[in-house]
Amino acid sequence: MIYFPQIGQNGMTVQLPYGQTFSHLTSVSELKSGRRQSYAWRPNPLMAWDLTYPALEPIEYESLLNFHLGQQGRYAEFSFLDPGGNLVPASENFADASWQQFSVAVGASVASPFSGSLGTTIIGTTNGMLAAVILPSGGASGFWLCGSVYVLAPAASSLVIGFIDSGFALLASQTCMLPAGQWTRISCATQLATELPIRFLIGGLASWNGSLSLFGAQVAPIGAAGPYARTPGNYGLHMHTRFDTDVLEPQYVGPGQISLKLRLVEHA
Amino acid sequence: MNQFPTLTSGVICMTPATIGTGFDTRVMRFCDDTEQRWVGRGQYGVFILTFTNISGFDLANLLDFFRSAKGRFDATWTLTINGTTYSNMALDSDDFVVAEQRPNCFALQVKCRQVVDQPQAIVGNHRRGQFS
Repeated sequence: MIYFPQIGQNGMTVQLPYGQTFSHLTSVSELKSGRRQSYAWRPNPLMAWDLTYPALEPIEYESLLNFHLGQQGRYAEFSFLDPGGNLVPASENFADASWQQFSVAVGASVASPFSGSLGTTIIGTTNGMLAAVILPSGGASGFWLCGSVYVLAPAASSLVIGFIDSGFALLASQTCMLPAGQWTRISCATQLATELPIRFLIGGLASWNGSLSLFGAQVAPIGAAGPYARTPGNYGLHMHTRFDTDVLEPQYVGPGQISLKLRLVEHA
Repeated sequence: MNQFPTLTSGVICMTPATIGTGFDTRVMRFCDDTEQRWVGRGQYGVFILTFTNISGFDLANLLDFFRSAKGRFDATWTLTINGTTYSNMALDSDDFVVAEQRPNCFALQVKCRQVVDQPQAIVGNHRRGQFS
């Protein structure tokens, strides 16, 4: 598995401004009578990314240059971990099949911290936990991930979140304190040191039991919890991505400072 | 029927916004400069909705809407601005282009129009300062 590189410390992949494009493909016939016929060619949109790097250090640029050389421009495909996306397959539906439930029952919907009844109550017994596969093919040693989730606890308590591999070995965890009756976003960041498939863990390690409300589970391929991205709409793992240019045109804007623009496209 | 989402702040879009109206008149001009004109279709609404510095949660709602409409495919959703509901709306583009300018501050524009004639008072909406 080849991933687009994280080029900076703490898992920086892109700089701002950062552009995402979601593209459907529709054939539309507009008749002179005003009637309209449309046909959708894609069930889900394909994506493109405009990566802007206003200020790269030479070592960061060389990392991108070497990757571009390795891919031979537009020729080879790679996986892109979208820093604006979410690696959790179903961020608000904890009853989805992508969530493995261990001693946990998923209950009713509750009001989310933003709007609507998008939160979910879970009821756990001792050592209850939820786990979701986020990197099914693994091969991401050295990459930074940050997992986060919004939690509402009826009484002051604590909850563990972290990462485990496919064999249930604990890779990283964070015990987070939860105030009573207040939505709190808890997070855990780590740099992976294994090539095995990775799962995101909520709970476990005897950190809680009883009832909690969850909303917006997210794993972003960066070193801190980013803006909330909902899945399945904004899924962060894109396995069929390539450069959209054969030419890399860096601009040397100052001593040790390089500016670069790249466009990546998803083709399947 | 699908409805264009409202931001968590309660507004439907931000300024600058375009709430316009259009016709589709066919004009045929002959060699002697006389013309024949006929109405292809009646009045319809055209809209450019601007979103600046919206959060990831608001962006997620807009993206969900775009995915459910499948870009230009769906022409049956409604847009309600200041109490006026515009029906039979369709997006103008299959592309949903988002820019994250600052952390958790997203910007985008949505262009859409009515595909079925709906003569109604668009005028009143021009006098409002905000669009909810």
